[in-house]
Amino acid sequence: MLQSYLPALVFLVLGGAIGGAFTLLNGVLGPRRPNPVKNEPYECGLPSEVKRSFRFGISFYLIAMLFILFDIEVIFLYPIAVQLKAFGVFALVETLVFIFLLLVAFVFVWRRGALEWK
Amino acid sequence: MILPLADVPAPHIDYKGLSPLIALVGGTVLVLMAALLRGRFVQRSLLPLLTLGTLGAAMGLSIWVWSPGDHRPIVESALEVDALALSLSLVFYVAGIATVLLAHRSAALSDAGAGEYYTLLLSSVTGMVLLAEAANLITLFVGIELLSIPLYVLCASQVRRRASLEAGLKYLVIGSVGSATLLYGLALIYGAAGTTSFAGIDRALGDTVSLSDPLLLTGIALACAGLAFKASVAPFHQWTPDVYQGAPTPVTAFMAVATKAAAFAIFLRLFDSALLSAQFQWAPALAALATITIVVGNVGAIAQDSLKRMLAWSGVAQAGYILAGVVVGTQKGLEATVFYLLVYLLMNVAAFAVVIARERVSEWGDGMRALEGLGRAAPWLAWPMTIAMLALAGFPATAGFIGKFYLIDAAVDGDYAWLGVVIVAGSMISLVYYLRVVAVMWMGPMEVRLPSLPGRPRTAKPVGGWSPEADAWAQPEVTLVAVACAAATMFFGIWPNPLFDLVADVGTSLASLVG
Amino acid sequence: MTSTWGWLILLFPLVGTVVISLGYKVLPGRLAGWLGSAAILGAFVCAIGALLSIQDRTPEDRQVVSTLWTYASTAKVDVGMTILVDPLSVLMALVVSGVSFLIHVYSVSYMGGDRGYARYFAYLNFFVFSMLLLVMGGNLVLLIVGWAFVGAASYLLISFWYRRGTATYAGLKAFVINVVGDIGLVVAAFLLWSKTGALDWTGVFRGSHEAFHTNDGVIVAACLLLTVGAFAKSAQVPLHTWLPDAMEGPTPVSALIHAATMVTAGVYLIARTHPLYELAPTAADITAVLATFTFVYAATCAMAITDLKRIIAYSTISQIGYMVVGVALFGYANGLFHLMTHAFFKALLFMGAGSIIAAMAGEQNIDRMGGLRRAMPFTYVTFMVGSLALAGFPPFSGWLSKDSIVAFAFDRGGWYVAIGVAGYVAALLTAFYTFRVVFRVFSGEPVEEARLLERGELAHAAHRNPLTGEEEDTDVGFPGPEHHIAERELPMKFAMSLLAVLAFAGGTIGIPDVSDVLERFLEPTFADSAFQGVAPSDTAEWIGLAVGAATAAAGIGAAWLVYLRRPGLSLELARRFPRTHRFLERRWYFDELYDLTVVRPLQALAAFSRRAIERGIVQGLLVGGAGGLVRGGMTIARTIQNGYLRAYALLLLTGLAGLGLYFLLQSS
Repeated sequence: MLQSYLPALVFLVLGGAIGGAFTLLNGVLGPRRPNPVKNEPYECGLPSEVKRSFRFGISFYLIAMLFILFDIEVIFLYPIAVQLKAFGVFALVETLVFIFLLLVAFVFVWRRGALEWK
Repeated sequence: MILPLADVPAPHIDYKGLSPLIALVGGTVLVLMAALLRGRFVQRSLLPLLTLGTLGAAMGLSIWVWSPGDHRPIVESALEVDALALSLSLVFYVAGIATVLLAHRSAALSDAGAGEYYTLLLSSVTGMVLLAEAANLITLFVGIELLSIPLYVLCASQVRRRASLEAGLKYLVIGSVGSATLLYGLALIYGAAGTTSFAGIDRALGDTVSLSDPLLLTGIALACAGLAFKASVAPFHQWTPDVYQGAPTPVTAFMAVATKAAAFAIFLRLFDSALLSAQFQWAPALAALATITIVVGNVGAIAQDSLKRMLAWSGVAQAGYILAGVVVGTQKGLEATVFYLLVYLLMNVAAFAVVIARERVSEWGDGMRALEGLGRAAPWLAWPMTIAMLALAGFPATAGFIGKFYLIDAAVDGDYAWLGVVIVAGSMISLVYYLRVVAVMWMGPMEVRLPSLPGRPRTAKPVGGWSPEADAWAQPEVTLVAVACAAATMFFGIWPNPLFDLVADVGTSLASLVG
Repeated sequence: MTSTWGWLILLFPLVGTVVISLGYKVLPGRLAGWLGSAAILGAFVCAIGALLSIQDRTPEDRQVVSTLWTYASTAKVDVGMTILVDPLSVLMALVVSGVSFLIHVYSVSYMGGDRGYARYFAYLNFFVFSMLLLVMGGNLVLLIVGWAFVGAASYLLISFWYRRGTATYAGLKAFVINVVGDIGLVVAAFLLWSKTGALDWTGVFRGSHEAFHTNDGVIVAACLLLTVGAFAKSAQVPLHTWLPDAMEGPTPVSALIHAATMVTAGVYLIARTHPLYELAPTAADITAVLATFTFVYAATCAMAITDLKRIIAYSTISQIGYMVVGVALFGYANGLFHLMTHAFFKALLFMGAGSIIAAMAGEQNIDRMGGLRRAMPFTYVTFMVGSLALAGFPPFSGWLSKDSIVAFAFDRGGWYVAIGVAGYVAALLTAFYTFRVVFRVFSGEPVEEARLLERGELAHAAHRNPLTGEEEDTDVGFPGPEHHIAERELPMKFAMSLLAVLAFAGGTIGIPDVSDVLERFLEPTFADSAFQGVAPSDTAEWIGLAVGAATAAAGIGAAWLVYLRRPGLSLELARRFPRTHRFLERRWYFDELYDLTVVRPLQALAAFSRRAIERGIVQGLLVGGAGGLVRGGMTIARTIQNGYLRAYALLLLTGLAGLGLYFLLQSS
């Protein structure tokens, strides 16, 4: 049974070996003449302007996260919307419960001031 | 692709059986909304009362639902209620109630906000109940995530303490790895068996699916590892001491008892019911894990100076003992496991309650020295701790002894006598660190440092049960939890029959083991 | 009704323990002592109640089993909180509670000046409760619980003055040796349970008659294990070395636990499990032979050592040897008769010793005593009564009880006659060493302390440990100077005179031909015995008694010759035979033997493992000895447990890979 995995193993070993070999050869054979410009992070040809003190506002993450959360939840509504007739009243009630819970969360987030930009 | 528009029947739902869960979810929403109200009364009193009310209601409903020897679906092929689920739900509720009481004066409460704290706690309990009632792989996973994610946050809820944040992050990372592993395993099991329902897997195994199917076995291996994370079974235990120490102590207490019980609930459901036909394949591996866990946990606990870390390691060791009940895959094993989880709740909560009471007032925090001379200074705390330690070590006349005896008996009965020997050997080692705590409390010096000018410490001998810095009844709810749990530990050590009756009922709940 | 009395017997000391331990801070003065005494008196009254109610029943109906609740009925283990009230347990309860009551009363005064007064009585009540639980328990589990509890109480009381190094060491020693016995008992219980499926007495006895034939390997093994348990508790060779050291405890404790009650638990155990021993005569014979050796051995030791309490301790070992012989030869009533009379006169002797030691300001060496007769007339008279009873001088109680055992040995015939002969030899030695003490302590030139006492003053000495000469830490109390003498304390006088009467007249319930009260009373318990009704003829018994009386007189006479008539003779003898003297004084080198064969090798092993592991494995990281392996593992665990997630991830992957590999190998 295990033998059927042999090709996969050979593939893994070969892939690793060849990839590793080239990286290694590069490091060993390639010339190394560093200068400040070469050492800079690649920045589309423009001089890099990112300073170490740069920060994103924490509010950005919060808003983004909340957006993604609520956005994704909506996806759950699609399948039901498509097949509502087949599922019947039960699914409708379920959907309402679902939306109600989302609403509770939304009210909480809103009242807690998480949506205000500080 | 267009789906056929045939009528899809709504699943049959037994609302009576579902009522504890409905109560929990409703309570969670209520607490969350109430948290928006400002005012000291709401934040300090109403929220905990609402939480306690919710847990109490859920508990009452669970008992109402209970009818001995009964197991029936509550949501067709998703949730099922039986004595196993209900008895473990009781563990979750009691642990939740204890946590609410213990957290009443916790710094985490004001740091994170009382509403959020209680809401997260309630959602975690909901996840656990869901998990215990799960009847298929999907609900299992939903339950495990619902219980884990709030715990990640709760661990970090003392946001002003670095250790708490670190614990939260660590738990998040490791816990996610565990969940991912588990999910992968479940997916492979589904792939092999072609069904997600436990009963279906049980039927498929050995019938349409070969027991040596590599897909199935890899699935079992991954699921096993994933659950081992949650139950802190070695070698997947390493997050335990760090997270237990870093997390706010009430949360630690909750994790130590409730999460463990939940993880074992699913161990029982998955391995002793759905995968029982493959017992020959998984049992030796689990037995090896149990052995490693017992050794690693007990050895690790010896050198600890922090009580929380010591209890974490001891929890690892205890997980090993409990795992023995799963390994044997017999009715008695099931009974022993549930019995031990019930008494484990009592003794561990008692120990953590004392740690909480001490770390709030002692300059040594949760260090071993915080207990020095406690026997004289605060007998109301020293006795529960003593009882808890003796029970954890398995002393006769405590519930811990009967629990361990039950487990060993189950191991011997299930042809894993050597595992019983390992449990005994582990208990021997464990005496070193459990008795050390007792010794520190009763034999430590009785001096207590009085508040004074820096550089000029004054000490005094406490007189007659009173000490200037540690009056046990200054935090009545914590002492109450400690005393109640310790008393119950003693009570069930001397009069274990109610628990015997209960687990005898639980023993019939997994159809695969009966007969 | 009978069972109610039985439960009440247990209830009183339990309540006493709880009340005294909870109220130790608020109980004023000697109230704790009186409370404790009252509790034991209650138990004694209930024991009398049980006696009367059991005598009201028909003889066939005198074994009453009562279950308070069922403790566990799982896994084929059916254990309840069950007591068995039958003549044997009632007799034991009477002796235990009666003697305990008197010793409590004695202690009320004797311990009056001690710091740990309430603690002492809490322990003492706990001991009585445990001992009563042991004798009344209706199944093996309760017996083991009681067995362990009395062991714990004994440990607590030996180490009562816990700032004293020798006392804590002695406590440890007693504990360790008793654990050996506990293991024997537990394993025996397991063997019996696995073969008979029962743990309660009647079930075990009935089951073993079905499961075993005579001298079956398993039953012999079980009985030998029971013997190990009995010997450890009853301080029989080779498990006797803890008892002399146990004399570090307060003197009333020595009287109660290490003379009158606890140490006789082994005798009770053999009598209780007599149906098993009768199925395994080989085990009974081995027990009897070892006990014979014990009583001779201990009597020889008692002749040479000089510590007052230790002499009485060796005489205890010796007398218990007689009792064990009695029950192991299946003459149960004889063994229990001696158990009872011994409880009286030995408790009395210890009480007298306590009084003497108090008068001597803590001094225990009899070579430094002398002439106390005039200073302590009351102590002298009572001590004399106890000594005459111990020596087996007619008509004192010890004469009747000891000789009933010896006569029974002769009656068994065969090689048992040798045991009987040894019994007389040891009786001679007993009479000799007993009166050695009497003459040394009370006769001769009065010592300084005796003169002081005659003038009405009590000697006081520096607080020094008589064994090591160390300065005592008196924080938790101290033996000797703070204690009281019988002459001045009414409660002590009361207890001692009552015991003196019992030691004198206690034998009347077993006079051959005249009153066989005890034997007839015990009959229902031993009705199933094949040896029930077997007894030497009255003529034989009286001949035996006459020989016994002559032996005692000879022993006393020899002591009189050596210690009174020619006072220098003993020293000269010691000088003439230095090796023999040293051999006896060092108690046949048993302690040294154990040190050499058990303690030293273990220490060497620990030292070796420490060196090896420190140098070889962890390079001085550890300080462990015997637990080096555990500590080594601990260090490794801590190294891995370094708090870095990446390290955890590595181990985690290793574990996962291991698990995966295992399951994949299953598939091929």
